Amino acid sequence: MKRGLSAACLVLLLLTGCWSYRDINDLALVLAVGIDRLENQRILVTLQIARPGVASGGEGGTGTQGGGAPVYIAAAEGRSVFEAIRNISLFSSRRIMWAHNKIIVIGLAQAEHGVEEIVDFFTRNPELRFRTLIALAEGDAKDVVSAETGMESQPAASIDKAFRYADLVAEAHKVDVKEFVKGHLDDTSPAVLPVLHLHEQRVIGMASKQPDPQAQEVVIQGMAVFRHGKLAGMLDQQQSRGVNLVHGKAGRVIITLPCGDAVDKVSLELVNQKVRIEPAVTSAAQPYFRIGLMVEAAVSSVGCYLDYKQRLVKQQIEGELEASLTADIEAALHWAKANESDPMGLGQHLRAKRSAAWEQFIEHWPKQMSQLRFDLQVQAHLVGGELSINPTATEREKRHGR
Amino acid sequence: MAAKPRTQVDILSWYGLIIAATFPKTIGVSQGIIARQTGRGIWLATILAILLSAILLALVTACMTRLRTNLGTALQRLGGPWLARPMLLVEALFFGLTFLAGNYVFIGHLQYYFLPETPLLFFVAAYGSLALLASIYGFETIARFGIIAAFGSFCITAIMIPGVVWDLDALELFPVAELGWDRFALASGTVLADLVVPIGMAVSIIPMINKQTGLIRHSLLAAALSGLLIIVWPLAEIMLLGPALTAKQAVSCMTLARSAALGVYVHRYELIMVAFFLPAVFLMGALPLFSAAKALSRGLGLKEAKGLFLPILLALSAFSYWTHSDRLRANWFFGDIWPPLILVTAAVLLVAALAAAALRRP
Repeated sequence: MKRGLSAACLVLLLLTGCWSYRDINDLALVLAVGIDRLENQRILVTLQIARPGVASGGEGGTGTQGGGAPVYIAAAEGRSVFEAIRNISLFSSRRIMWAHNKIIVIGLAQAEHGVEEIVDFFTRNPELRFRTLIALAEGDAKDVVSAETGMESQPAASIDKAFRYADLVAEAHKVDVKEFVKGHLDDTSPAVLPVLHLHEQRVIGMASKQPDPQAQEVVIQGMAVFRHGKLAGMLDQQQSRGVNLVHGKAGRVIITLPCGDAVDKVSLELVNQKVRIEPAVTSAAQPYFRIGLMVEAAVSSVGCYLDYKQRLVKQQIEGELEASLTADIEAALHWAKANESDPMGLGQHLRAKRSAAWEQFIEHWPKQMSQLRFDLQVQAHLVGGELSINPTATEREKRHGR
Repeated sequence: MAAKPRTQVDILSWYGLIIAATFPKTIGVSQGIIARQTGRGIWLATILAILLSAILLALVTACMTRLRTNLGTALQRLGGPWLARPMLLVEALFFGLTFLAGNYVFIGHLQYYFLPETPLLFFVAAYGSLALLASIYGFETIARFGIIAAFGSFCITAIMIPGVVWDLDALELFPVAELGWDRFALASGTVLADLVVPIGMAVSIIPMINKQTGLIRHSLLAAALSGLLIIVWPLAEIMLLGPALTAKQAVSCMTLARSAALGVYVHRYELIMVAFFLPAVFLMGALPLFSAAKALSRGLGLKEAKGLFLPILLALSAFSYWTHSDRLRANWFFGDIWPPLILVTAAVLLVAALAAAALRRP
């Protein structure tokens, strides 16, 4: 009996691939999905699907699928997201597979209408991952999903990789499904999404190929803030940078300041940052936050003679950097007050650190932001100039200063 | 002096059994359930349950080392078969419930997340077959497998941590009783239900351990090790997913595992994690099936337990199939019915062990 049962268990283990198997040649691997709401209230789902044979064969393709574009764009309408996706099966020769989806793009009209169904669909599906990126399109999601953008053969891979380096400008940060859904379900801090814009192509072209004047590049710029599942407002570049600084998600952001005359600039890169947020409640029962930001920056490029080794010069640069960062954060805080929204998640600090006081705000939290009081302290330290010890200057500049 | 039992297990296996029997259900399925009950306080509710379960395990270990035999035999000596048999039936029920929990964890992980189109019957049959095979091989084999299962539990935890640690947000941890202390206590009780499994094990296994010296210390240390492995998970779940998303998930540890990524290039390694996880899940099937058959055979006055393996397995598998054929029903059973049932049976066993130890004839 032991042998028989052992053999049966072994067979069970060896046959695990026989059930629910899907041949890779029968799969349509979705790389990006766009969701738009049409005027007739139907939902348009646009999929960017990989053509692995073409993608692996490089330009022109040497794979089994012949030449052509490395991705296939498919779209279908439906009364719900799921119905629209299922309607793609009416003409797709392959079964849609979500496991490799890199990004979900929500169209502006859909975001204004509400994202409840999208959140629900993408958190129920076992194929989808919470690490999939999610973003808002400035216009229609289908335009973003179908745009030929970036240096990778698959446009979705280009957008995915662009997000990897988006912290260099800090005008938007990477948001995955997990973070978005967390914000959507949590009353304390709203869901935010980076915004994707279509700009005229910034890549001039390749040596062997003429640039397409019609082609557009997907650019990450600004953030969108949601409230109760609907788009509540957009943050511009400065406000987004302020939000990211308070969140500690600004990364190695570049800050450009004037130096010498107004034309020349000095560029600083933040190499380290620490945020400290201390919540309190005023005697008038208003939320009050002490926000402290400490940054370390390195000089990346200087367009004028600037001997930043001198204490006074160093202090001047640090002062200008502090003023620039303060302006960014204040812009974000003022936006939050004006829009009664909390994209910086200040309420989370109040809830976690002053839970007794939080009780009085819990029901009306985003609205309380209009009463927001804050004390912002930014401290900047210049810690070096990359590989150069001395400023780049000619002998004449050194003799005569500026 | 009590005669030495024929079956002997070493102390390392006892450690392995305690860790493997408590780890699988506590880290995921139960965390989702208690997140629905208490919100972001799941980590503290789990810590309290771990501490309480360690004390209870030490208590029952002390009783069993004093009795020097299993609970059934001790009660038989104390009050005859009419005292021993009902208690053995309770013990069988306890292990039956543990088997069902193991099956739930198995189905919840493999069917829900990896093979949603595979028929439920396959999972029930596969789980039952492996439990049956292990039971036929005997308790010593199961106990040794416990060491592998505990090692797997350690490995899955060790590879999960670096995959999520950079995304954790400590602000999610507080306040701990946002939905009220009554719901917090309920949540702690729900986790305790998973952690009392070693109590049932202790009443039948402790006399089989080959070295009886320092067993209380060993039981406490095993409970502490198990607790350390377990507590990492609710902390990570709440700091990564937040309370609402943890509560929304069928199996929150799978969502955590699927969210783990080592840098940019190493991600989607949940299948490796599940491979490390499954030995403990199988142990939650094998050990209870064997122990339930043993307890039931003695409760019914039968000489051999082997003949009961298949009938018990069929009964439990049929119940499991019925429960899981509707996921809402499974969620209701394991969220609302299973915890009080196992807690009551564990309490009965604990009280019986205490009474037997107190009334032991010299």
